[in-house]
Amino acid sequence: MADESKVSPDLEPQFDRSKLGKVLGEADITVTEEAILQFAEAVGETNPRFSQPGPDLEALPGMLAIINRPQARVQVRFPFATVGMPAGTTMEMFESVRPGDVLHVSVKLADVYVKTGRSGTMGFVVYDKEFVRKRDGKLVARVRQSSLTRP
Amino acid sequence: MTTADYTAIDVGDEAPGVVVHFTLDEVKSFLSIQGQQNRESRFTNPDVAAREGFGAKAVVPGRMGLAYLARALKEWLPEGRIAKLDVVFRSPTVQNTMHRAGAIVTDRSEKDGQVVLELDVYLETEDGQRPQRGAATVVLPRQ
Repeated sequence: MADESKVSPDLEPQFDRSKLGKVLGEADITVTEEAILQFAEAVGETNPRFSQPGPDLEALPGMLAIINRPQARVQVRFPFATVGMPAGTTMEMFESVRPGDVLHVSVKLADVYVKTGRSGTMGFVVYDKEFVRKRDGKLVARVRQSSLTRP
Repeated sequence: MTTADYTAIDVGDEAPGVVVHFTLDEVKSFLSIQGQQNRESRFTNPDVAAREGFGAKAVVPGRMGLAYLARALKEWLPEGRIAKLDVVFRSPTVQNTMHRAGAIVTDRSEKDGQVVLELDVYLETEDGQRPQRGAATVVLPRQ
């Protein structure tokens, strides 16, 4: 986690620090053929492997990054900033995702920190999600999503 | 779709890439996956984008750009497994602007009968701006 020892009090983020590193929520989601096809169409994918119904259909990588369940979040307030936006996403993918897969999703608050750079001072909040396939217990993917808040 | 003979892929090779214009209709189609296509936001309304400091044009969801980067990799290397994709949203990706989702190989290694490629990935505008950039690891079966 980021070192907050140099953050001045007026920049310090306000949140329930007991939540750091803890599982905030869990949910089971079923990946449907419809959702796979809708995602492929939304990004213009035409490879039949990702865009046509059939026994070989699998989800395009990137699809799990848009899964917004569970919606468990920690309220984080940065005294200096009000406008929030995504800062980046890291995905690690271990298994293909196919129609009918039931994925157990858990989300943790991984980090909260303040950074000052050329653009000014920004606050960052990082969540980690794990996707485990229920039928065989295999880890399908990890997704780390960072958001930043700025004045 | 252009696919590669990946046994010949080496450091410095570039993906053909995917060109996308990011129109409002395309963005709304992406947002519709989560039922958010009719919500007033920086993605659907330029006035909201301007009010929030993103400039005069509506912007593109970061995860949509990431999805195009994944698509560019899979189109070039369809037999590859994207093991890791790490993208930073460095600046707003604006709508109605031509972008190319691209990738370039920065390292190649072989391990356990597989070829592992490390790549830089980027979403690039016609004037060379890269609002999204990062790195990817793609694992291919060794032929």
